[in-house]
Amino acid sequence: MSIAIAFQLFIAGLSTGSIYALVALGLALVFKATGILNFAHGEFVTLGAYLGLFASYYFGLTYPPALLVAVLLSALAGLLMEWSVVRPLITAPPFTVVIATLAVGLSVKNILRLSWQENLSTIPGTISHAPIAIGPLSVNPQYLVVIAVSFVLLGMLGLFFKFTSLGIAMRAVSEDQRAARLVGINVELVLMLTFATSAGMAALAGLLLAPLTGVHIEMGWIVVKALVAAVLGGFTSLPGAVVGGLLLGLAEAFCGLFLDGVTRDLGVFGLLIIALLVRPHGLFGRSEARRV
Amino acid sequence: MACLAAPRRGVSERATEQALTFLLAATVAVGVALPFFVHSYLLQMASFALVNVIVAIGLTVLIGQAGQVSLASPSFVAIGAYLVTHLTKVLGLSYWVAMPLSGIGAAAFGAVLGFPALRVRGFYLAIVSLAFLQTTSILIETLQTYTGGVRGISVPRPTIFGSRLTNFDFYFVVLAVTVILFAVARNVSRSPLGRSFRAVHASENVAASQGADVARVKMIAFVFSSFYAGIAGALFAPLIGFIDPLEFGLVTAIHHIVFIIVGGLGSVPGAVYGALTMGVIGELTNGFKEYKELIFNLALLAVLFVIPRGLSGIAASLVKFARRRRGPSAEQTVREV
Amino acid sequence: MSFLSLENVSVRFGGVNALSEVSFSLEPGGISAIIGPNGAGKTTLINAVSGLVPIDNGRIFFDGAEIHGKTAQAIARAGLGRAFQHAELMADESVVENIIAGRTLRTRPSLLQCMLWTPALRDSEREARNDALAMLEGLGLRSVADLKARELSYGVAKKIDIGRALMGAPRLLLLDEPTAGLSDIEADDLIGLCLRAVKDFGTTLLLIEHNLRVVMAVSQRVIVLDYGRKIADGIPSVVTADPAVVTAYLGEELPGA
Repeated sequence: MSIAIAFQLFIAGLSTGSIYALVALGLALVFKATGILNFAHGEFVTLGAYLGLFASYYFGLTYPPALLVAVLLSALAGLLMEWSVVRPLITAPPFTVVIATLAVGLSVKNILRLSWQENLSTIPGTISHAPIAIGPLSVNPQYLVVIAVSFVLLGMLGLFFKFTSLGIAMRAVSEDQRAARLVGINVELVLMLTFATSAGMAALAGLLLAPLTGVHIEMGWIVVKALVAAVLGGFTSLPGAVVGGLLLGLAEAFCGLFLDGVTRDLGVFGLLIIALLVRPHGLFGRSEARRV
Repeated sequence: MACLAAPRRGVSERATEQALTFLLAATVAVGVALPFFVHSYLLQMASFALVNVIVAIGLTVLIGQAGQVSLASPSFVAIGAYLVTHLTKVLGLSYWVAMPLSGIGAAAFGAVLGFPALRVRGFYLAIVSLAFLQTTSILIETLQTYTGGVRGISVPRPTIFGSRLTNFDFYFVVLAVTVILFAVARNVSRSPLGRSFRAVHASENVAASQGADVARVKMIAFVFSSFYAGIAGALFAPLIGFIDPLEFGLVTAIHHIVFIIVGGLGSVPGAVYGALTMGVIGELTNGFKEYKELIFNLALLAVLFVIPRGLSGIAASLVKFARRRRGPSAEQTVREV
Repeated sequence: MSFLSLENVSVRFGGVNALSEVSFSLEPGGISAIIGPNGAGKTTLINAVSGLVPIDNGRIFFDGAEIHGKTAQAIARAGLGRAFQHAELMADESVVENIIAGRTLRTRPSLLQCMLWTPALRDSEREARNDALAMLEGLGLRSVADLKARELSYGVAKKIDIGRALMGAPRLLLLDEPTAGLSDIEADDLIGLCLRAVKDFGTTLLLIEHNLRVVMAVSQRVIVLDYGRKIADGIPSVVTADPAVVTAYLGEELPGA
């Protein structure tokens, strides 16, 4: 394999991996905070992309402001979801809540499908796909944008969680809700904001994905891959979700060289099963003493 | 025919138990009478609903009682369907032999999924089962000679004494199998095995320290539920007459989970009514055309809000209500020992 | 011939030595107690013996056979039962079901038998249920038989937990702080139960206990742990007078000292 091809695969893999990482992180964030696997998460990815589409189509916004609007609106949608669906069902068995989130996600998807007839659309104003040259290597600038934006956002989130009081409050609530409440943290507010952040991240991922795959109703399926990534990284670990996403993207890119789409997916799942059997709690997850 | 296991309960429980028995009997009566009042096409739909009931029963035992999360139920339905097709079309076996064999075949594959279940739990097990589901989908597409690949495969109706079964006849076959499998599942639930399922679910460590063979219990749970799914598949294939590989994906897996959640996790009668209820809601929303899916999902959300513990949760609430109405009893006062 | 013996058993959790080189052996019959300040490793000891926690060093023998390294269920089947500090009952099941479980979980029922509900199964279930009700009768708790386990008060739940363990006819029963959280009356009640178990079933009891009044009253042998090490071992009156033990408890008043 030549350096040029390896480099291209690396960039492509890192780019899809960053998107997986964003989605996986959002999923892990909500899971850590509430113990709920948010099945609507994938549809927030789709929602973000569609909202960007609507912003540009109906309001003439260019890509950057459309992105901002879409992310904020999606964050709001996430907040609403926590307030109207998750919170009332707090006493219900966990499975019920999970299916409720699923129903919400599917409803969102249905509404989007009813609002826009085109099967595949693009948001105008994104960078062209024409490869640019960096020395002897050529690379698709889309990928670079995705990587840049993702890394900046992930960096900002890292700082947010470590240094801002809200970020610390969110981490506290993730660790132990009762303890957080006892030290005076407004748990309800934090949970709403956690959902909002998670939805916003999903929306951003969708908007970054849009130039690569187009805007279509099935974009939400990326959440399955993000789930694999999060599990690989260890679902109890936020950095793990990010690392898992990046690794998955890279693995897919390089395996795509040898295997076609279907076999590659099979291989990825096979790897996941083996990984879980060897290390049941993922790369960074905490393990419990098990003895049966 | 084995009689039903009948545990003795307290007064309120016994009353609810009797009400449930009455409800079940009435349901079977309606089921038997249905074909005489209903169009042939609707009978096919009713048969399909019963097939879903069978899957739901097996699944509620696995997930609700034994606590083993699995998204792979459609895979075992698929295995049952393809096996019965292969056994009858290619090997020429009689359907009446092939059908139970297909269930057993699916059960054997269920054991395959059981192995990772010994090492991973909860959410991670769900992921493994998801991988199993996807792998089966991929295998269905690649093993074209057996499965017809993406194009699917046609399945003839079975014959009895030479004549091919109509929707009317086949409905009774499906109904009979459903009733039998329901009774069997109820037996298992009330048996020591059912108790072991629930003990393992409550705490594997505590169960083990009471001598339970946790690995064996989990394995049996998987085998049991995949047997049910396999039989469902073996009934489903000739019912519809055609196996479409797209039927066996994540969407169907979620439908199955919805059946048992609406019915109440772990409840065998709940699984029956959960599957039937969602089937009815599905049929009712058909008229809304492009809004059908949205209305269905909103209806599902509404159901979950109204009965978060599922239909069997209603029964539990009734028991509590009845107890409270009877006022403090000897039971309650002695609770404070 | 010793019934239960530990030889230099050590258990480490991360950097912490939960148990260090603990050795002792028990004769069959009677009641022995393990005492020690919080964090001394008492529960770890019981978990190690019952197979829920792996040991890093040493050996454990039960009735002549090695049990370290065996699974918890194998150890339970060998005749070693245990109750838990916070009665770990099946919350959604009735009390009588919980008690029956103490017997039937170890039986390996065949799927086919259960599916068909054979007469043999029906009989053994009926027998188990009758025995469970008799057990409840013996505990004075027949009236709670049909309540869900989650509806029980703490003291009652603990008794049910022990009743459940006794259904498995253990030859050695490990109890983790049986009287914790109980009033004096409830504690006496529970101890009465333990004494009956020893007398009627011939069970040997090994308790972890904080309540020194109880320890002094019923145990023939006391083993003291502190920071994972055994610091005393002998009859109650001698052990509780041992200065090392008194220091470990930091000035706690010991009855009779």
